[in-house]
Amino acid sequence: MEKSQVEIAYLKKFAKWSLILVALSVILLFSMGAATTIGPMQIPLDRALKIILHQIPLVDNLIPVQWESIEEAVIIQLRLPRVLSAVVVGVALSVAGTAFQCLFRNPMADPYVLGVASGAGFGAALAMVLRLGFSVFGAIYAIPIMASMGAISTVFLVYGIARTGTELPVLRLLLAGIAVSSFFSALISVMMALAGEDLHVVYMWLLGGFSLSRWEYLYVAAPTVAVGFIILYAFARDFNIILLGEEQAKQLGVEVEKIKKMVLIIASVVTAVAVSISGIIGFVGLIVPHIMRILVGPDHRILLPSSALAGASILVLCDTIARTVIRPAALPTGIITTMLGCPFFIYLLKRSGKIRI
Amino acid sequence: MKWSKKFRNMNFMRKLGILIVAILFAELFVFGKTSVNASFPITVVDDLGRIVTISKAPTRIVCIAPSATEIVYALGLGDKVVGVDIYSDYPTEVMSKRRISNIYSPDPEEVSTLQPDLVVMYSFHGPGDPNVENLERLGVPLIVTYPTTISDVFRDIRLVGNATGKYLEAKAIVEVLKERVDRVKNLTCNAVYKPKVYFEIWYPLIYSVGSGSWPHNLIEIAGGKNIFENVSTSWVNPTEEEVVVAKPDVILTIRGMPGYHENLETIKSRGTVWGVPAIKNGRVYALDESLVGRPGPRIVDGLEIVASILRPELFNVLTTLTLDLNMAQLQFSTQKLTLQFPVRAEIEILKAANNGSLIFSTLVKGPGTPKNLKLIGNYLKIDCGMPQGLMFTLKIYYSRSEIDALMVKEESLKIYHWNEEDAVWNPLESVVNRDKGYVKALVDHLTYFALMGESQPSVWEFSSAIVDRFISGGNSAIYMRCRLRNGKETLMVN
Amino acid sequence: MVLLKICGVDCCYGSTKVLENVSFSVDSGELVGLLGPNGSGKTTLLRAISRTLKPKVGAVFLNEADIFSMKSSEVAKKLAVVPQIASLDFDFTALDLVLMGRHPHMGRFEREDRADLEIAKEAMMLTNTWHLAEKPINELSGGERQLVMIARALAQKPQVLLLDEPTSHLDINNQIGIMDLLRKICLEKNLAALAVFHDFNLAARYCNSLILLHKGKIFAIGKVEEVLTEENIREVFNVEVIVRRHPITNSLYIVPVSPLQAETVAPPQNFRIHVICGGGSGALLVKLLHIHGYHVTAGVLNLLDSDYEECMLLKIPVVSEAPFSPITEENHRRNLSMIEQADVVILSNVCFGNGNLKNLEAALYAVEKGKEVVVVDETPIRQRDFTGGVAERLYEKLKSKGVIVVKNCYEIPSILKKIEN
Repeated sequence: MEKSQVEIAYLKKFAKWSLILVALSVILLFSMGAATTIGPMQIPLDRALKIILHQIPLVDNLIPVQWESIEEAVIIQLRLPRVLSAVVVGVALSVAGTAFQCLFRNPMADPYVLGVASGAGFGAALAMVLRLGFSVFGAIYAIPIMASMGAISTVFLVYGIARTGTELPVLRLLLAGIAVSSFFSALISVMMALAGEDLHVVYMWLLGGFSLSRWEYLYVAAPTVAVGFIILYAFARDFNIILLGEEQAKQLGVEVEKIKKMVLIIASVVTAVAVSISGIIGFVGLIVPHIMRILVGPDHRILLPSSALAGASILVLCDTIARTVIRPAALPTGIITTMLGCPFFIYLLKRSGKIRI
Repeated sequence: MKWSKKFRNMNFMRKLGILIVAILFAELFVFGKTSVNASFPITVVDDLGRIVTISKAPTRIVCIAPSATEIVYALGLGDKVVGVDIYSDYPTEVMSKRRISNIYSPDPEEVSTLQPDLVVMYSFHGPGDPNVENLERLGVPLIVTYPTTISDVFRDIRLVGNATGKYLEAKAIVEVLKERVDRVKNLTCNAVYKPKVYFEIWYPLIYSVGSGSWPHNLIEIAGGKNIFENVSTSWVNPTEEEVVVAKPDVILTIRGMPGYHENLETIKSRGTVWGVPAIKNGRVYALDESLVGRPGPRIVDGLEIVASILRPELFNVLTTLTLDLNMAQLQFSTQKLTLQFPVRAEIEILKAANNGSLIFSTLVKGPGTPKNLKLIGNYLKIDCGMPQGLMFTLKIYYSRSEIDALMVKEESLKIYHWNEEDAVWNPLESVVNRDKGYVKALVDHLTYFALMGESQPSVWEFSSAIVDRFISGGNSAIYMRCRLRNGKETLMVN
Repeated sequence: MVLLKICGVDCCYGSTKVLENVSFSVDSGELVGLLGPNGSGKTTLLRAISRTLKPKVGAVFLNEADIFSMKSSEVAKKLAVVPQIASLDFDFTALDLVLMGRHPHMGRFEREDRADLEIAKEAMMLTNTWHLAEKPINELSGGERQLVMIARALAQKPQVLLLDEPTSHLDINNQIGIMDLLRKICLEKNLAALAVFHDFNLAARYCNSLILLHKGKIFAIGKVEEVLTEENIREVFNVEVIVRRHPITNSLYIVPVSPLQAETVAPPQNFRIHVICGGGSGALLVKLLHIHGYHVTAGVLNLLDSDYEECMLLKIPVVSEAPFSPITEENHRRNLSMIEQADVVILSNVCFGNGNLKNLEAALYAVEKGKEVVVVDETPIRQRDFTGGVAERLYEKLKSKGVIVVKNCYEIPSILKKIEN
């Protein structure tokens, strides 16, 4: 049978997608490598890589130790958790942003639209002001745990307010999200007014950064985000169809209500986890999906993984900038993402002509 | 009539003499009143460049910062203080005063209920501080302190002294403090080696100090090098790596910040990346917030302590240990601090009035011993930020060989404390435990301590005793080398 | 065979009943049109059938299976919906959109394979949209987009097709094109199709049968001519129309009579109007006059002339002539006497041949008799003259004699009012 150009091009699409993902992965690995090398202690890339590889149980015997223990400690205990946290949070926010933009069919949706960030911020502020340290864990765990609890409670609140019978109308979700978000933001302000000498610590946390990154946080955050991403990716084709409108999607056999609930919960959990380990990092969840949509198209089967990879790279880059630009002080990373993300997005907007979903 | 006649009849010289005496008297009278209210109204310029006029001697002073409180009390104005902030706790008299609840943004209404005629505050913000403008609305003279160095603190003492008519007192205090600072400076300024100091205010979000703060100034004068001296702000948030890369030799932490309890063990547990020289050498010290965190007169105490920590060899300090006082623990039991080297000693805290940190140093040199007493071991110095209410037992261990070498009567062993005012060593009620080899005394104040005993007259007069310990094979005899009065040296068997 | 059966369906929005006891069925190969005024429940019925809205009472059967007992993806394999044109503001290509129709047939982790692509291609070829395959959907015109939507529905390989106003926003050639396509597809693929229409003529022309909904109930159901009657339309839509069979296409067509809603016929006036017409040119006119209550007579009309039939329907006295015969002298004289009894004579936009030239003479007679004459001059006489110029001359003569000339029938009632006063 004669194959027209169109058919060839279409079947090649999947190959093209794989290529895009490989390219983005390479960029991500490169960013991670660069970030691991950059820091006040000069450690060349090859030594850093050897140190990292040495940690893997089966490979370690192949690599002789040719570095000082302080270098290993810096790479493994300080830089690596920081870089990996940036990757995890970048993936989480980009994927949640993409999912919410599809769910709400609204280009202005971002991971914080349902109030998750405000809830998390309130939980964290509470932990810091009350100086909570659970007996077993200590204060460094109190903040992420309280932040997660705050975030999850906003999800329940929003879900409960918006639900009508068995349905979950999207408009009600948005409005409930705005209400709950404002409420918790007000509570955060109250916490800050009562904070006294802790005000600064709360404020810095809210601005979003990776100074507190540790392996223990990653043991929880990384699997959660990975599982969340996989589940959302499995429904990528359904996301495409939901963009046509809920009624048409139902008529094409998509279980819209079930998917809405699933997206709400998973995207919120993933966002909650991200915020609890890094504070409130803005712009990534809103802008990265748009950038990738302009670059790779609206099909969620490529958009979701591309956004994840691109978001991770961008956040790693921003974090590296944040901790080198005014050495020895570290700027909160959230400031960098906003300051860089905004102009870049405006540039892309002008070039492509419009925001589309 | 009679008097004037008498006067006219006096000798000229006598007249002159009486006149001179009268004038002197008058001057005395006038100047004698100066310290009360003669030179009011006074105009001063405070740390923010504000011109403040105090129309009469203040009788109701409100202090909105612990440093302000301590300065005002040091000037002898304690009885005029009607209100302090919630963090002021020194001297103990302030505990009964009314409190202002917010030190960061004081509420003018709250202040006004105390009806002050002078308010002294500390600005966290600096020029353009909205809290200052807020309090100005009271219409009460407001003096704002904003010190960044120890010299600034002296300036503040003089400022408050001038404003309250206590400029003589201020001058005297500053002179004494300055002398102490200069003493430290002279010792440290020529040193080639300056230990790198990391001053940690908060963890895990790291807060340290930059060159715009007085802890930095304190470290510099004390002979150290703040690892963040290149940062011009007063505080800085570095990444952990920045701290670790700087390889600090000494880590100073603060006691008294609620929620912050870092010490050697906790910093070690931060991971091997924190294997900096300070940790390896165990040079992590906790300083009382009241000694280094308050830009008032006691900051010089803090300076001296930090100097002895940073450069012990300059200050004849052999070792320094710190102990965190734990009020909760002291409710039920006691806290112990044991020193093994060079002196074996033990402190058991029985009572304390505040959490804080206790600093325990051994010194080579100290206030000189009296002629009839011999020093066993080294001098001990115990410092604490909040010494009031502290009660502990001090045990100093000795060995028989030591006292024999020094020809000291065991029964005469007592722990002596240095009486600063009288400049003498006074004995404490001490108990000698011969079996266990220690002398114990109950202590309730902090100063130098020494274990001393009366020496017995002997054939050999020792101008100095040098004890070497030899252990000869199989036979653990101990020999001593002594110098005889005639200048010869000999060996003695114990 | 019956593919789609709707049994006793009631639908409610909240407490408002929107559909009541709707029952009908659609066979394979049948294209059924669904008509009704706004708010009659057409869209609701479509939603109920497409499993978007669950009926309170009753059931919808797809091939004997209750759709609500099946998963929505199962239903989507058999039933496809072509929505009204919606604004699609995204970058998916037309082919992407058509391939979405394959979703119900694909497993969760499957990708579109060659087979799916073939099916999509076939559907797009059928709708003549294959050449648009790689164009982004928002760059297509309305008609092209609708065709792509139909292609998507076809790609689902359904047995039943639902269409919601498939031609409402399209221009005429797209409308015809799409309806031709739909009929062809229904027949070729043995689909049962149900489409909502607003355009009676289109529905009448293409549908095998019609359903007329009124206030949530089925008002009429059956063959086109049974459903589309003037009474039904008057009852349901509250508008007067004329229903005629088109001579060329042989399909029913409907023409609205007055731009205003005529509720009842106006009370009888004493004005008598005689209408000279023929060949269909007078039907509207006559009806219009009848509604306004005038006493109407007409002549001369051949039997079997459509105007004659209209007059018969309205019980209007007519001078009639044998079919296909020229006007006899006798009938002409009868015509003239009718004219004498009338107050106004109206000449419609009728074509003149040698057979009915006498009607034009009758109009001249009316003028000479001093009757008020109104001439409807919609198309130029030259185009209506089949007498080789004779009619034209007479016509011009008529016009020069001081007659009122109007361009279309709707102006006439106001003219008559003026004449009356």
